[in-house]
Amino acid sequence: MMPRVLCLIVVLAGMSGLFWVCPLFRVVSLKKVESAKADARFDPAEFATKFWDDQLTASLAQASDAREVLDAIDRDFPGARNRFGRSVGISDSFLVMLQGTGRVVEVNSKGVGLALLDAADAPDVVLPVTMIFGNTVRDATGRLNVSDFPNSQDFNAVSTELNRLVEARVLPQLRDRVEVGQEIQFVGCAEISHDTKRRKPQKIVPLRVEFR
Amino acid sequence: MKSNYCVAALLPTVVVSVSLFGCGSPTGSGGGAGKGKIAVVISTLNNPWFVVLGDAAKTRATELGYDATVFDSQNDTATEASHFENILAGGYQAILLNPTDSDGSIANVRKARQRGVPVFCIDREVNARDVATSQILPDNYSGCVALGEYFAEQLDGRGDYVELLGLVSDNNTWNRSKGFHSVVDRFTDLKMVAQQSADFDRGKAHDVMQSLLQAHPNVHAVFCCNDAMAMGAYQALVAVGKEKQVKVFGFDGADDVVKLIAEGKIQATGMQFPKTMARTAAEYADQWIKGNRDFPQKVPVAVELVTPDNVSQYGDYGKKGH
Repeated sequence: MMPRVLCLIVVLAGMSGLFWVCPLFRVVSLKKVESAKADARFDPAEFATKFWDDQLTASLAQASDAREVLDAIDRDFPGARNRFGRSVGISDSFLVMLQGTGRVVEVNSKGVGLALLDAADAPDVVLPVTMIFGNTVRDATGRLNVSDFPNSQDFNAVSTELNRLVEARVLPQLRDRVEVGQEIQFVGCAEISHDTKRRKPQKIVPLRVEFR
Repeated sequence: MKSNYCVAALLPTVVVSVSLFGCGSPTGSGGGAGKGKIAVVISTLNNPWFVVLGDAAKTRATELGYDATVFDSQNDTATEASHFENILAGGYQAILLNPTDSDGSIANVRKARQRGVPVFCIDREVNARDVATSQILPDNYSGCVALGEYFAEQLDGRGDYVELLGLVSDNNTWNRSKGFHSVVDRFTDLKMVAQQSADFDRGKAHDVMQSLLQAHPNVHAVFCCNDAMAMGAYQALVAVGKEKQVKVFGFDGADDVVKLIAEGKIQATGMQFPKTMARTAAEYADQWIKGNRDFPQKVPVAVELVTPDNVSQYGDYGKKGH
């Protein structure tokens, strides 16, 4: 009798030890699980702010001269694309980062028209002052790659947040201070349309503006 | 004696390894010589747009010298899994996949990868970076941003509208919807009065639109996440005589919608270039079979806005002259 009881105790102790090491289930707090999920969730606003502060600002100095690029596009679209532009995937359009100085020749509710040449009256470029949409800012920098994101929804959310940063950090000073006749130094991004002739004036999403 | 034990222990491992990794592996150059097989797995052939996608992939693979077979997953991940079993057992060298489900298809793609068979996703994405060899995807978000801007312009920034979503498990649905809403939600006088899924299906869209019109008889527009649903919604509007009151916006670039845009009956769509995506996938598969292993994980394909102003440039699921 005794050996059987002893045997049972040994077996139970062994099983208890085994289940202690490898439990069939664990009780965890739902709060902890939710919090872990929230930590793992991609935060596009945080990502965009960090990208702007750490990378985008540093890349502004690499922008090409706006006058030179626009002239090149008008002369030879494919050549300008090869020399100055970058494309994302398969597309007839291309993206560029541009910088330059222009004189304000037009101001309306949608944008600020700048003439890049001294004597010109018509705007060569327009800097929008209202809502910014699309992927121009995200893609023109060339520093973000869709392949680095497991989910294209996250990648696209970054675009929305970068656009919001342009609206919050750049557009207010442009809207509030601009007057016809002022000189503005700008750096921005543009998507050059696939159409045979680019749209004039060329829309440039501003990333930095300085009044001179 | 000891070595005999080793052999006995290793033999099953070797046999299993060979059967797992050896049989499905493509030969280095067989495909180019016209002996290879490529599988084209399409989410559903119950939609003309996907038929074009499958046909274009098959045609390009055939032009490149392969025997190509199209499989219809009927929008069902289990059917897709069954196709993958048959494909992997059938000695196909590459799979061109239009996935059924962004998450649900991952296991199928992973299984093929483990068997050494590359998978090239077309049009729809799987939510993993390390299973597909490459994913050729339309830039839905940008396309719908452009569509949203046009939508707001056509409605003069005010009015009530409904939205018909596609399959809610598919990233394309949300990339389109989010791209569209990233624009229209900024116009406070544009009000979405209903948002409902019609699974990318023309018949379902017809029924959903019919019931939405009963609940919201005064809507000014409907945004549909694909053209099959735009056609279904348009037919529902025609049935109640409201086709001139309600503006219809689709997405895909399907031929019947492009024709209705030219006739002024549908407002706009986004041209996704299914033939370009399918051909690119077939060409990537050919390159893989011939030894190339360097592919971008994701290749976005630009989507172009088609409106009455530029519709003459488009047709046959692409741009004329391209």
